[in-house]
This record gives sequence, C-alpha cells and structure tokens, in this order.
Amino acid sequence: MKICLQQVDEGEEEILIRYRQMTPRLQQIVEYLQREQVAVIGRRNGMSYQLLPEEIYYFERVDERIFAYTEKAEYQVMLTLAEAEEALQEYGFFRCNKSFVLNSDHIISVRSEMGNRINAILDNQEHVIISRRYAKDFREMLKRGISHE
Amino acid sequence: MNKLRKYLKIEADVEGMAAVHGCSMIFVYGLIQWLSGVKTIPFSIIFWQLMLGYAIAWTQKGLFLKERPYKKWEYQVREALWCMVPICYTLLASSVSHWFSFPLSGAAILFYAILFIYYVMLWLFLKYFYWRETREMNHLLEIRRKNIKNKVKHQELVKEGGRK
Repeated sequence: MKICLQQVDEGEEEILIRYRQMTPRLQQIVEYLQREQVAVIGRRNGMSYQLLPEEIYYFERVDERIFAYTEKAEYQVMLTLAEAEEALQEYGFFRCNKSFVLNSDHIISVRSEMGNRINAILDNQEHVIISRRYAKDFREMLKRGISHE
Repeated sequence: MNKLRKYLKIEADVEGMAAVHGCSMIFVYGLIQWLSGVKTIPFSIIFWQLMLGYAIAWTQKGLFLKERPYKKWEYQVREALWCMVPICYTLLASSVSHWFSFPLSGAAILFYAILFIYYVMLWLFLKYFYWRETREMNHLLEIRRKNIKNKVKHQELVKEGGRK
C-alpha cells in the first residue's frame, strides 16, 4: 500500500483513503481515525495537564474531590465519578465501588473474595476492591468480552 | 437514601444467611435431642437459636463489609474469625439459655462438634466457590488482555504507517 503525505498551509486537514475493496485492516484504520481522542484535564501543583484515558488507572473520590491516578502522579479533575464513568466507558472504565471508577485495561488479575467482592490487582501492583454491588457488572463485562472496541 | 438502600441490601443478605444458620442449628439440635429420647423442645430454645443465627450472620457479614483491600494476614484472620466466632457465640448462647444440662453430655459435645464442622464446611465450600470463580475470571481477563494487546499493536502499526 502506498502512503502519501502532503503538507498544506491552509484549509481543513483531510485524509483520503483510496481503496479497491474494503479490507478488515482498512476498516480498522478508518475506525481508528474516526475515533475521537478524549482527554481528561487534570490539575496538579497549579498546572493543568491533559491526560489520555489509557494513562489513567482510576478515579477516586476523596472528601468530595475527584482525583485521577496515573502511574506516577495524581491529578485533581473537575468531573464527578458518574461523568468520568460515562465519558470513558468505551475506554474500559467502570464503577467498581462507591468511591472508584477503574480502568479495566490496567487490571492484571483478580481474586474473588469472601463477601462476594473482587480484589483487582493492577499492573502497578495496587489493589482495588470491586464491591459486591458492582462485581456482577464486572463479571458480565468479562463474560461478554467487552473491551473498548 | 442511598445508605438506607445499601443497608437493606445487606440486611437481605444477612437474613438469608441467618435463615440457613438458624435452620441448621434447630435441625441438628432437634435431631440430637430426639436421638437422646427427648420428644419436645421449648420454644424459647428455638427462638434463641433463630436469634443466634441472625447474630452470627451479621458478624460474618461485618467481617468483610469494608470496601477496601485487606492485607493478607488481615484477610486470613477474618476468615478464621468467620469460622470461630459462630462457635463462641453458640457456646455462650447455649450456656446462657441452658440448652444442655451440666455436666455436658455426649449429645451436647456432638452438637458443638457438628456445628463446628458445619461452619468449617461452609467456609471450605465458599473458598472452593471463590477459587473457581477466580480461575474463571482470570481466564476471561487473560483473553481480554490479549485482545487489547493485539489492538494496541495494530494501532501502533497504523501510526507508524501514517508517519512513513
């Protein structure tokens, strides 16, 4: 496949794909290009940062404030947990207990525990509890094999 | 309102477990007494046993109520308490409400032994259930992670293609 890139000074940026037949690979490229890149604005030490959904491990509510946690830092965000869950659902985020919205892509293993709750172990070795109330949805999500596709 | 709803859900759980504990205790006590030749059991003892089932169920629920991860040792201690506390409660309740006469007969010892085995078996059953579920969920999680990995790889290829 030949790839041509052309820089323009003015006008709208556009991507033109010429194809004989739509193949799965092409379809995936189109889907990727069509997908809107969502970013979360987080504040830390008086500075604003743009956080990509895949960087965020989870959102946590602490004293009515919401924080987004990445591998290295935590940022205060101006979203509610419900808003974060709704906006980032397609990126694998789900409500796991009353104070957390968790990115399921960062879960490396889970352990079912007494009290019908699930202990999720993240790839940064943190443990987060999926409470009984949300465990059922999580199990269904796994069974359906839903990822953010 | 949310707190009330949460409490009601927990209460429903507890009552289910309390019914299992209460009925088991009444059945075992009744059977042992019947085998010992006792044909009638006072209602007060049955009532005590039902209430005891409720207290045990609440205690067991309370041991794993928090929405935070427990340390390994802490979890193990709670599991041990899950089995031991019911027996302590039963010993206490039975001595307060005189289920058996002193000195303890073979029937009384058999009753406590069966109940102890019942709680340990229940715990083992739950452990097995959670172990199986853990295995199944990790298997599904593995598949899901592989799918995501493939997808990320593909996106990187698309990006690289775009740069060229």
